[in-house]
Amino acid sequence: MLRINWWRSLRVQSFVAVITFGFLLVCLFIFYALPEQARWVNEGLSKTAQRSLQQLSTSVTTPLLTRQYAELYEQIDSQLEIQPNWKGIQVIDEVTKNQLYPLDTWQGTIERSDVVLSQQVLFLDKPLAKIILVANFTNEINESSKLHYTLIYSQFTILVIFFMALAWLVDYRITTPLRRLEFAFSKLAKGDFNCHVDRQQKNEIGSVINAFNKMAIEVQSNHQKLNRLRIEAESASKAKSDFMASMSHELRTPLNAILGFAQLYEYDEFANNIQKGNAKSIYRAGEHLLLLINDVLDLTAIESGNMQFNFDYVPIKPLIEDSVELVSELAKAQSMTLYTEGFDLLKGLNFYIDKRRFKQVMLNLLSNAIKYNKQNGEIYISCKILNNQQCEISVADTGCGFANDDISRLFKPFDRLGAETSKVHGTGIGLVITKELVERMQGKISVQSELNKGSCFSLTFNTFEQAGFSSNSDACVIKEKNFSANSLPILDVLVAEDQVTNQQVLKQQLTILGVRSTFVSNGEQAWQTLQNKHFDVLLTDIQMPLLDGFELTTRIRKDSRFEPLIIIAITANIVKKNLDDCHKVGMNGFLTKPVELVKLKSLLIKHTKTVVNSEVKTNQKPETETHSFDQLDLSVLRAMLGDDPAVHCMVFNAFLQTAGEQVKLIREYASCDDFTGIAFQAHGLKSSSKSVATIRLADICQEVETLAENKSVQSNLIEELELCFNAVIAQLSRYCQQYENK
Amino acid sequence: MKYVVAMLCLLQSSWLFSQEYTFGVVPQYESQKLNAIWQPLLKQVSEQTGVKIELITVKSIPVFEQAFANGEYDFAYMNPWHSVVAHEKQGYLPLIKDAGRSLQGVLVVNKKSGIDNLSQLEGAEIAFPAPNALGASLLMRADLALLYGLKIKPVYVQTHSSVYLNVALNSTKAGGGVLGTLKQQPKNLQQKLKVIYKTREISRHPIVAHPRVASEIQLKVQRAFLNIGESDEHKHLFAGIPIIEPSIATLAEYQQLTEWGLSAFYVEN
Repeated sequence: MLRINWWRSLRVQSFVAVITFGFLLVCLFIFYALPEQARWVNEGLSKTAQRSLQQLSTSVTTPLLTRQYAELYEQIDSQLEIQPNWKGIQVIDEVTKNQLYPLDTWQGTIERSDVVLSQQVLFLDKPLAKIILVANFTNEINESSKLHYTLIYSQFTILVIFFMALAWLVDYRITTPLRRLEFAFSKLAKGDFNCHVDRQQKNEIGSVINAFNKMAIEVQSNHQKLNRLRIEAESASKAKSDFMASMSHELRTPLNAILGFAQLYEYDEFANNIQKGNAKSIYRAGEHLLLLINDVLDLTAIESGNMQFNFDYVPIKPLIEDSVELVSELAKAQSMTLYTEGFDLLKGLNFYIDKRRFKQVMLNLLSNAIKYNKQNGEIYISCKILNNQQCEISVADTGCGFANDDISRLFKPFDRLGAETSKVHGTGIGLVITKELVERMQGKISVQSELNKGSCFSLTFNTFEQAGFSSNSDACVIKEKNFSANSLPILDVLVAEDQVTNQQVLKQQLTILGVRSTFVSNGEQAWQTLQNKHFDVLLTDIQMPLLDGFELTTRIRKDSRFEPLIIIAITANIVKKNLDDCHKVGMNGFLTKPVELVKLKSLLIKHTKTVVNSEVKTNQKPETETHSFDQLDLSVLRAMLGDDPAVHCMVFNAFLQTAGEQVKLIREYASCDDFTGIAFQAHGLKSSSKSVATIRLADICQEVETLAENKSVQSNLIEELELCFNAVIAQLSRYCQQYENK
Repeated sequence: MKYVVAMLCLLQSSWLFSQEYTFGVVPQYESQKLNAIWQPLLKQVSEQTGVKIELITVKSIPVFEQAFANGEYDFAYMNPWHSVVAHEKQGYLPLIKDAGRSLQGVLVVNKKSGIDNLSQLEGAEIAFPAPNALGASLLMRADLALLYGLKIKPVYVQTHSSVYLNVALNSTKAGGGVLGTLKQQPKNLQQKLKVIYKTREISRHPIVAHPRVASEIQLKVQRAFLNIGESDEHKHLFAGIPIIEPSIATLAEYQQLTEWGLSAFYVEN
């Protein structure tokens, strides 16, 4: 929402206008009206006093002539008594210049505000005496000022009331409806179409509100239309992907035969050279076709969200060296030179990636660099460690390059930037797959290019240095061999996990491993349970109600009684910060969800120096099953729970019982914009869905959680979540049914 | 015949007592104030004597002078010099005087004038209230002229206050007044003045009776005034006039004014 600067607000402006006006009024009053009035009053009173003085001069003429000074005194005294603002009168004889009145010494003016008036007493045009009057009109001026003040006060009060009423009117008629409208706009912007604003006024504001309401309805219908079209387009796209996937798959079977038979010619004694040459051509064409089909398969897997990854900490140096090695023959054949740089920096560094997929990425970039290079061109492969725990691997060539404007087209399927007509073979989907793979492995890919000079593709990945975490699986494999399955002390494991599904999974896994397990739903319960019973290992979720995994660990590590307790975190958030935090609070290790049985086992062995008693088979079944359970990652499922469908179904049932409620809650929270609630529920659902190996649902939940934390969940994402969830429910039910039927 | 005479006598005496007498008062104040002062006293006198007395006030002294010169009043209250004139013209006789106070004129000069000797006033302007004001003017002028042989220029300024102001304001070198009025002036005025001469003393205003009033009536009235003056209950009636201690007045007391040669200074209207 746009924040309005306080001084731009209509409310503030009208208030300031009223204050300024009042201030000007007061200034006008104090600096102009009052002095002017005082001057005016002074003048008026002076005139009156002058007139009285004139009358006095007439009446004292006779006493002055006849020297009847007693009468003169009486007249003046009585005048002074009558006129309260006359402070004193002096009468001076014009002939002798004697002071005739008062008898005492003349004080003259005393105060600054005293006014002096004089009048000559004439008799037959001859001056007899001069009367000097000192008057002071301060009292009268004060009196009139008081009156004026009262007048101004009442005017000011009336004005203030008027302006306050005006301000209220502005507020009521304009500002408040505008704010309501603003609120409705922000609701609409968030996709909430329930933003009708009541139109209370029949004026311009009212018509604006009316127009807004109409617009909201229009936008809603357009949005619905778009949504419908999107769903249609998506289902069309999915149909296409499905078609392509099955087509590609179906194509591979006959291709196998073609390639196989073409190869046979090589060993056929009766075939002549021409036939052998033709068969070689058939083989090469078939090989190319197979490559294309594999690419198309990958692309469809990406588009349908079925791309599967086996994440692990992989030492990166040998992996890159391997890839370079693989293409070096090809490069040599095309008389190209490979330059490598900075590989030693990678020593001891791990990426958290799928090894096979990363290799695919590297090979793709390298083979592109060879394919699109000049004759006798050069290829540079360099590695750099960036500051922020990241590593950059770049592959640069000296080929024809492309313009900057084409970069956006680079990652579009089937767009080869004009290379379609060249002799270089390609489908135009390699880079699309590469980019998708890199991003799915939390990496970044960037391109720089200059036309006719060459291009440079760079990969950026987070690096990990943990000796403790890396190669867990390797350690497991080695140790597994060293211990006998029968010499096992029984471990007591406490599991703190709030999701019922996850509890089920872990329960099955720990049962398979022959470990005694106790389950609690939050950190607080875990703490209580620890007080009463001894445990060797604590498996704890990080995000839990009441007391989370970090706090629980902190509390445990403060208590010396629990020093030997092994604490292993189980988290779905594979963020480096999260992992660092695990170490910081004193955890011994961590497992990522979905928890693979092998890893769980190896961690337990590593930390407890004991052995779990079961052999875990991780061999994967053929992938043909996946397309009937496309929401389920069966390899992950097996890695977690082994091959027993009975165990799978127990976990699935736990998920089916609890997850529906979580989806419902997410939908309800979304309808009232309760982002904290959404994030919490999405996190729980993500965790559960990882435990039943429904990776796509987990990914969507992850997305919802991230967006909810940033308070920007879109309703279509929730719809997607629900669609995906429904598919998951259907498939899990079907899986259980199939098992029961068997 | 005896009865007839007795009857006549009775009749006459009843006529005598039922007759109404007039009482003139010198207009020192306006008539309202004079009424307020004199009416209660005369009422008391009437009650004690059974003689009906009517108070008559006039607006000005000349009218009053004219009136007593014509013998219009049976009784009158006037200044000593008027009583002398009234005696000469109509034979008025003094009945009551104030034994508590006497009349004495004073000559004042400005303290800063440096005058302390009468001889310094030779030919100077001297302020007086009026030509015939007894203590302040007549006695003073007579004294200055007859006893000290001074020639002065009299300036008549109506009131005693004006006399003192004239002196204080250096309008005239000296002024004639009486002690009573001098003491009544504001402090600041008094402080500017000093007395350099006092005249001879005479008795104050007398109450006089016209000779046509029967002597027993005169005596009765005189007795009543004296009684009132002695009575604690009624003494206050004299306070407003003012007479402090009423006592019997004699003609001789006032005749000395003639001897002092005041008539030469009296101004007839």
